[in-house]
Amino acid sequence: MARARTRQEIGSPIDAAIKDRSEEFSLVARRLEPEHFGKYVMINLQSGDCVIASTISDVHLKFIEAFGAETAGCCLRIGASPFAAA
Amino acid sequence: MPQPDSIRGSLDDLKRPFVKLSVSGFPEPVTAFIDTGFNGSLIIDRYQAERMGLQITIQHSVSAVLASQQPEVFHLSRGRISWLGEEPFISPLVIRETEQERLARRRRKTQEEIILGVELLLNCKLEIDFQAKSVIVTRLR
Repeated sequence: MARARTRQEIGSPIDAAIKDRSEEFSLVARRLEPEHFGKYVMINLQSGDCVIASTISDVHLKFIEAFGAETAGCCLRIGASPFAAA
Repeated sequence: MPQPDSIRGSLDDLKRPFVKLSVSGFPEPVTAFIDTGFNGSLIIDRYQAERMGLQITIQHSVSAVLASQQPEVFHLSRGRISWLGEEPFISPLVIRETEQERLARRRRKTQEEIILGVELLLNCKLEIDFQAKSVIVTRLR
């Protein structure tokens, strides 16, 4: 029987980067807010470059097209959360 | 063969609107709860993503604040689903959890359940009749 994965193992190699740079990502989202409120930004964790689109699927596709599927990236909603009341 | 441009669903005992989706990898239709408070396409777990043939990209994450105000990080996945006669390429959010957490979450469930969000409803009309317990999602042309 396969060994069950631990909490740590279900994480992602980019967890530390997301945690360490959360302030920076929030600043990026805040800077974009006046023009792109409600859209999604996906940030390239290596270069800091980003792409913007109206939906998660669109921003994900745009990111893959721009930087490749193997490049680490973090997606945020600008000025809001993907979940209501948040 | 004409493709359906609407799907009918119902409300469960907890008054949650749902539709039944035929999803590749699952012999029985999957129950998709419609959550207009969720702005993405789908929320699924890792097991469901793998069975649906979606590619999970663990190097791509979504940071979010849940309605409970708790911060959460999801993995992103990528692939096609069959939805109202079309096969859009979408990026469902994948729940990060251990097998133990998954089993605990599913303890009372008898069927596969997923969350369907606003992204898949953008070109649709959603009708919910709470009295008649009916749900209709119609694609607008």
